[in-house]
Amino acid sequence: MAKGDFVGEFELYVMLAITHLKDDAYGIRIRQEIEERTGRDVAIGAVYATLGRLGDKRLVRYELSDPQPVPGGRSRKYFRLTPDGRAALEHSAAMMSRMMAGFRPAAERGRR
Amino acid sequence: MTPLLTRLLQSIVAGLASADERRELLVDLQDEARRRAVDHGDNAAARWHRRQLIGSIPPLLARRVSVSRLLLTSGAIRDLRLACRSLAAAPAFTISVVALLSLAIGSHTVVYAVVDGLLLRPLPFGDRGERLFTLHSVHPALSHDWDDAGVSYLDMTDLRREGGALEAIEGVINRNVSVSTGTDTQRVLAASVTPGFFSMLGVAPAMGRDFADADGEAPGFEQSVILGHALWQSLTAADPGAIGREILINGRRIPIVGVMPPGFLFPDGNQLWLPYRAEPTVRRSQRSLLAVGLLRSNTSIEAGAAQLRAAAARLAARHPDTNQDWTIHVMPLRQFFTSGGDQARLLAAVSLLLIGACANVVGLILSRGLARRHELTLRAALGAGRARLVRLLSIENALLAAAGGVFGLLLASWGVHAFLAWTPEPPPYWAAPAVDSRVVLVSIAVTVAVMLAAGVLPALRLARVDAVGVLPGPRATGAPPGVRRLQHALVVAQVAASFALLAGAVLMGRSAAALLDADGGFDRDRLLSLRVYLPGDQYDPIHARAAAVDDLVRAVAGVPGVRAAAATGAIPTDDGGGEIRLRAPAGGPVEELGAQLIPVTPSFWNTLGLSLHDGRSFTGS
Repeated sequence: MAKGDFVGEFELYVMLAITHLKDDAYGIRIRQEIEERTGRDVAIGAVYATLGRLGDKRLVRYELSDPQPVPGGRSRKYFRLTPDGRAALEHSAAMMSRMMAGFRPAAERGRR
Repeated sequence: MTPLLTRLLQSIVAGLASADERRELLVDLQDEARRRAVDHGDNAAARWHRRQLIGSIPPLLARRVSVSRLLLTSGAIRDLRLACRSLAAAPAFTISVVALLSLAIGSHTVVYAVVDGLLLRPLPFGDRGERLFTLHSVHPALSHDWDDAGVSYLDMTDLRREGGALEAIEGVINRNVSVSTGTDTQRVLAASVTPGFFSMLGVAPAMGRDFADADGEAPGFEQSVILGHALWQSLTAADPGAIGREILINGRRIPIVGVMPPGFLFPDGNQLWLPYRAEPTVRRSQRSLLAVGLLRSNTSIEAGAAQLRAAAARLAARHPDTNQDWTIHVMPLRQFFTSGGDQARLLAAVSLLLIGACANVVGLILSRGLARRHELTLRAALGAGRARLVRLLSIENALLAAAGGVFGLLLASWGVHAFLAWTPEPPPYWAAPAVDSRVVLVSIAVTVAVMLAAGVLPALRLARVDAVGVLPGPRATGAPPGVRRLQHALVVAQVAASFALLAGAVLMGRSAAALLDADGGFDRDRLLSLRVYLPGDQYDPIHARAAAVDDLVRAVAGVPGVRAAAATGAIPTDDGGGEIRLRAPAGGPVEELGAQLIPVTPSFWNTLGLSLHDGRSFTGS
C-alpha cells in the first residue's frame, strides 16, 4: 500500500460499518450503525461526504436498488467495499491491532 | 409542518449534497426524525433533526470545495495548454497584443514610479514630513518665480523669534567646495546649514555629533564638518575612527565631527555640511538662504503663514529701507521639491494611453474571435458550454495580459533609469523613482485591470455562439450584433482618448518647438560654454577672482580657432541671475521693476555677436 493511502479514523468507521451491515449498507443505516457502536452522534452529511471521498479513492462502490415497493418509492445507494477497500481496511486494522497490542483502554478495563 | 429554520437548513444541505444523493439523504433523515418523535417526543426529534442538518453542512461543504477545486484545476490546466497552443498558432496577433500591452503597462509603471516617489511616498522625516515647509521673501515687483526666492539671515532670525506657530526655522545654502585628503582632490556639492537644521528635520548623525550653536558663531572660518555617508566611505574607506580626523576643505584643515546616516543628502544630493556662520557684515537685503520651518504639531500651515506674514509686516515697519513691501510666502516642503501637479497630470495622460491600448487590444481580440467563430461554434457543438468557452478565451486573454505585464515591468525598470538619465531636473534624493515592491504591486493591479477590461468582456461576447444552428463555414465571419455594438463603443472610446492625448501632445510639442526655436538674439550654433569653479579661500578676495577670470579668458581666447571669449556669472538660456529691483524715476508708468543682475566681462557682447542698442560696453578697468 502506498504511503499516502492511509484511511482516516472516520473513514475506517464507515468502512467497518459497511462490512458489518453487509447487504444493508446505505447512508442512514451506516450512520445508525456507527452511532450504535461508538455512542457518538454522527451527522448524516459527514457519512455522505466520507462515502463520496472513499468512492473517489475507489475503496467503496455502490449499487442502486430497485425503487422501493411503496407509492413514490425511490432507489437507494447500497455500498460495498471494493477489493482495494477490503485490502485497505485489512491493512489499517492490522496496523491498529499491532499498535494496540499491550494497551487496554480504561473503559475496557472497567468493563468486567 | 416543518419549521422555517429546518427548511432553510434543508435547502442549504440540499445545495451542498451531490445531485444523486440529495433526495436520499434528506428523506432518510426526515424518516428517522419521525421515528425518533415516537420514542423521544416531537421537540427532541426536531432538535435532533436540526442538529443533524447543521452538523452536515461543514463536511458537505468541505467535500464540495475539494471536488470543485479538482474539477477546476484539471480543466484549467487543459485549457491553459489549449490557450498556449492557440496563441502560438497566431504569432502576429500574439506579438502585437503583447507589445502593445507591454508599452502601455511599462510607460504607466514608469510614470507611476515617478509619481509614487514624488507625491505618494512619505518624506524621510517621519511625522515631521508634513509639518515642514519652506519660507520665501516676496516683493510685488519680483513676484515671478517666488518659489525660488530666499530669505535673509537677519530676517530669518527675527521670524524665528516672532513666529509663535513654529517650532523652528533654520536656513541652508548650497555651495561647492573642493575636498582633499592630501592625495586626491574632488569637487563636492556641500551646504552650509544653521546649527539647528538637522535636529529640526529630526535626523541625527549616524556617527559623531550634530552641529552645536558654538559651531555657527562668527567670525572666522568653519571649525567643523559633517560628512555624508557615501563621502565618508569614499574619503576615509569607511573608517569608524574618522571622527576628529581633519580633511582639507577649500585648502583648509577642518575636523570631521559627524557622519550622517546613509541616504541623507538634504537638500539637493549634498554630500557634506558646514555650519553656517553669519558674518557681522551680513546685510538684511542679502536674501540668499533657503529657510525651512517646522510647524507645531497642532498648527495648520495657513495659521503659520498668517503669523509669518504679520511678522514680516512688523519687520517692514522696523526696517523700511530693506523690507518695505516685502512679505513671506510659505510652501509645504514636498511641494517645494515637486513643483506642483505636473506629475499627476502626466499620470492621467499615461492612464489615458493605457485605456487607448486596452481598447486596441479588445478590438484585436474581437477581430481574431470573429475569425475563430467556426472553431468556437464547433467546440460548442461538441459539448463545450458557454462557461467553458468563456474560461478558455479568458485564459488566453489572461496569458496575453500576464505577458504584457511581465514585459511591461522589464521595460519599466529600464525606463526608470532612462528617466533619471534624461530628466532635465532630477527628482529630490528621497524621491528617486524605483521599480520597488509598491510599484510592482500597482503594476500587477494595472495588469489585472487590463486583463478584466480587455479580456473578460470580449470573452463573454465571443462565447455567445449558436451550437444548435448550422455551423458557419470557416470564412463566414460576419460579426453578430453584440460584438458589433462593442466594437463601435470601443472605436468611440479610442477616438475620445486619442483625441485628448493628441491635443495634449500637440500643445506640448508646440511649446517645446517654441522653446527650441526661441530667438535668444544671438547665434547659438558657434558658441561653446564651460563652467569653471575657483576653489579655496585664496579666491575669496575680489581682485584674486578677477585676476583668475582674466587669465582664463585670455587663455581661452588664445586657443586656435577661438574667435572671442568672455566670462559671465550666468550662461545665457541656461542660468538665471540674481534678482534685483530697479526703482524707476518718479512720474514714470511704474515705480519699480524686477530685473536679473548678471556679471559679465567686457568682451561678452562681442563674443555673443551682439551690439548694444546705445552707449558702450564695459572697459577693462
